[in-house]
Amino acid sequence: MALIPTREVRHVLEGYEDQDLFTEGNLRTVVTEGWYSHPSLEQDVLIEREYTTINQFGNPMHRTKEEWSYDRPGGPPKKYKKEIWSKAFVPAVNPHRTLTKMEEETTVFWTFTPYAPDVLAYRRQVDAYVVYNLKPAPDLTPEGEAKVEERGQKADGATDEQKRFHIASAQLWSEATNKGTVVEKADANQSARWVHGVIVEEVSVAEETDRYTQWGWRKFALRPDDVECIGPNYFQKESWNYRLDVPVEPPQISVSNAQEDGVRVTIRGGGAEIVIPLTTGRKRYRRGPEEYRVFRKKVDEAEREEGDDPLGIWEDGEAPPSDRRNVIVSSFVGGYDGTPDPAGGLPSQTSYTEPHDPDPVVDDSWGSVGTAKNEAEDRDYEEGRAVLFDKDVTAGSTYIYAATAVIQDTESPLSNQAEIEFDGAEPRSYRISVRTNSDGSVEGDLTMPDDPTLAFNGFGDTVDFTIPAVVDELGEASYPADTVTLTVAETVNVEEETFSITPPNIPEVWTPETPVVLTDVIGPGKPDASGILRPYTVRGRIVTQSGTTVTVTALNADDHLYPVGTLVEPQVVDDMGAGGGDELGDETGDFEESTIEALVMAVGVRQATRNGDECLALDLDVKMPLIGLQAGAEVTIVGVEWDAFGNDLWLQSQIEEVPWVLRGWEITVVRDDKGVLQCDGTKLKLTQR
Amino acid sequence: MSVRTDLVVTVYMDQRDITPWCRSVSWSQPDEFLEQTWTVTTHAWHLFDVNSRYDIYASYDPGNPRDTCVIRQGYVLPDQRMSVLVDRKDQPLITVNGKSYSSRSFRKTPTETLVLVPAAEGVSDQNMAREVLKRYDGPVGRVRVISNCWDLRRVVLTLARRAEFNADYWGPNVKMQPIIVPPAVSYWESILQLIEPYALEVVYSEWDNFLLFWDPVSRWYGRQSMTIPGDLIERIDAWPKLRKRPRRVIVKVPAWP
Repeated sequence: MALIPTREVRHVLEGYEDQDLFTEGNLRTVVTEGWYSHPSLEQDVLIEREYTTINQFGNPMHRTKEEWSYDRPGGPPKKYKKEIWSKAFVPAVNPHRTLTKMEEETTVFWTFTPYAPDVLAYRRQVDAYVVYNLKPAPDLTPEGEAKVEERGQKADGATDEQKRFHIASAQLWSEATNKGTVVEKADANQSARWVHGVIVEEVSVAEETDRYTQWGWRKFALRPDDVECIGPNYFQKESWNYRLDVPVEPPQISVSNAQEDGVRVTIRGGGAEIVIPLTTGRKRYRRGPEEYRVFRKKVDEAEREEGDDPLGIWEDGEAPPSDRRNVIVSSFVGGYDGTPDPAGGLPSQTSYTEPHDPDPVVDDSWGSVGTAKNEAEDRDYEEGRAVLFDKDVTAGSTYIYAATAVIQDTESPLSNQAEIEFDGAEPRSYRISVRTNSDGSVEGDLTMPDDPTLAFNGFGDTVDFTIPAVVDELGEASYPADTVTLTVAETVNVEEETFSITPPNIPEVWTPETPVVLTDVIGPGKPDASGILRPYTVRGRIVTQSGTTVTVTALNADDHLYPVGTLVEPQVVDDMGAGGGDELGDETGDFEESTIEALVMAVGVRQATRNGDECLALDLDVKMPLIGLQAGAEVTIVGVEWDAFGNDLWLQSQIEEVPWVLRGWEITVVRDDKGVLQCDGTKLKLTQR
Repeated sequence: MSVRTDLVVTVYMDQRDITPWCRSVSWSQPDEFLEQTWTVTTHAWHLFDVNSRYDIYASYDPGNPRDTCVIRQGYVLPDQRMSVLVDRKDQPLITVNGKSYSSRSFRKTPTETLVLVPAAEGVSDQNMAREVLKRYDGPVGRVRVISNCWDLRRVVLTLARRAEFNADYWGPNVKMQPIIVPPAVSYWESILQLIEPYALEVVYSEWDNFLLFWDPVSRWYGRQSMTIPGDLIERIDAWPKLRKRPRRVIVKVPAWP
């Protein structure tokens, strides 16, 4: 069942001129394409294409027709056929220059692997007219006969005319026309014959374990010695992404508090068992997921109390102070006689409280927190693992987390659900998620906290930045797994040292190669680069540990005497993502924003600070010429006060004494009647900082 | 109500003092722009040349009239309108509008592509530049490779130096990938593109040509601050200036290398 074109496209090139065509004037070239469209295909399939060149009198001069045959949509082609029709002069065949089929090319493809559509075995054959010079008399010697047979023709039963063919003069019709060796006279000693298989090409494909090899030959029958080798061409096999037909198992998660880093979600396991058919039998490959998706549900949120309102924005107590700025502060409102008006005189708003609502709206839908890449290698029976920090959490709130495992767009069911009450020291309201795109670029996505003064949430624009920075995808987090103290003071001045310690609380973590940190929390410490006193710290790796002694190597000895009571803490290192490891600190040096999260945060905080709110602008006329002004300078206005009287009210007001930013100015100097240049003053343009 | 103040203003046209011929002089900095504009109305029309350069000085001290340079190397924009007026005394007046000159508006080599690479001078920076240009599909004329641009601070300061600023950068610092400045883009535009995500404040003073990129989250403010007492203020207009509140910020870091 071949595919037939479902859609036809026609292109017309007007006034097309081509020196190689056989006529002087070409009115137009028409290209007609027949395409097969099918909803299962990403791209339409070209089924047929026809080029027709039409001259100025409307006659077709040249025509090429191509056809591709397919068995089924998306599969490899079965057959390709190309016909060339021309008005070329071919002796004895087309002396009247009618439009005649001159050449036909047929390629038949076959393949044994439907998943390597580019690697096809095929046989291509070109049939065409061949032009011969004629000898004066029929002359076909036995050698000549052999030659003729070698060139793909039968010598038996050749006519007298065919016996006059000068075999070595054979030329393809197009070759002869282009070289100008065709004599355009009816009685010229030239003739032509349709020859099957002028050019024959055969290519076969061999499959090897990791590649396909194409190998073949091409033979041009008119020149028997002209045999070309094709290949070998190697096609490396690519992995073919199937939608998995096996279920993906969900992972296991656990959650813990990570203080200012939010909630730490640790994910393990999940994946699928994939059956790989091999010649030696079936192999079962236990594969971890590519990534995990983490979801969260809010059980309750701390800042919402037992209250609720129809809009779901109930806030306790006084409304949060707006960071919008008043220009004018009314310092006194009262009567003419100076008695203050206790009611304020003018309508004003000092506090804003929602009415008490007894039932909070519970947000019990799963929301996406982010995506975590599987940090484990893609090896058989390698358990997947990942860590994700959810920073969009509020202290005192309770959340439920769950995750899914993802392999090639197939997502597992939800994992176990882990509940946690976040006791973080500092509430976070910026939410960051990080993703890596297929082209290798990294994207950080930050959502800002809502403006508390707005009546609805989610207001604002999305801004995009492309920053050509060098970042690590995620940072390194290390935290102490156990804490003991030194029982004997020790000066660390060699690379490897044995310390006496109190017995470990968790002996399992005191394994060789574990990083360990000694912190002198007794002494005053030493000033760092910015002059702040920091405790003396030395790092190393555990060699051995037994009972109350531990041997530590690779110490960055600082000749400091670590007193009794110094903290000794083996570290758990979450090495998340690229560039991690111990070198992270060295690599980043003094660069503040070395991870994508830090970079996104740096950008987001500044965007929120600078553009997060509308601001006020001031135009100020100052009675003094100011020179040497600096754009961006800080300006404070002091002592602008005035009184206003209306009806029975007296208002005393002043400009708020806050810094403004100088954005622009204007100074004009004009020559007066006496011929002296005089300045009126300066106009300043200020905006809120 | 105007207050007479002893402000001495001197105008030089091509280093010739034309102050006696000047009828009025004004200079201003448009809001949020770094390019200062100026206007001179003068009788010195016979000296007028479109290509002249203007220096305007102002001073509070008559003994030192060139104390502060308020317009440095001012030039007349080709499309600026100029008008010649003739008053009753048959004194022709010419009004010249211009801007102060700086390379921040121009590229000295407008056909050159700058490649700023985080590599040491020598072979590695050339190799890196070649790698960058392979991936770049814009127009490339001659290429100038600027090495040692390791971080944003160095990139910004390098570009500012080429634009003839005395500059300092107090914004956040990041390690940089190589950067291409296409031929038509001025130094100043490319700096603005680089610092745009950080919403930095730009502090600039014409008189010592000093440019400071200042971090809005920093506690410290720029170089200069001034306090204006209320009795000097004649008038105040205030109005809200609307900004677009960002809600979501997406930062994309292209793949490198």
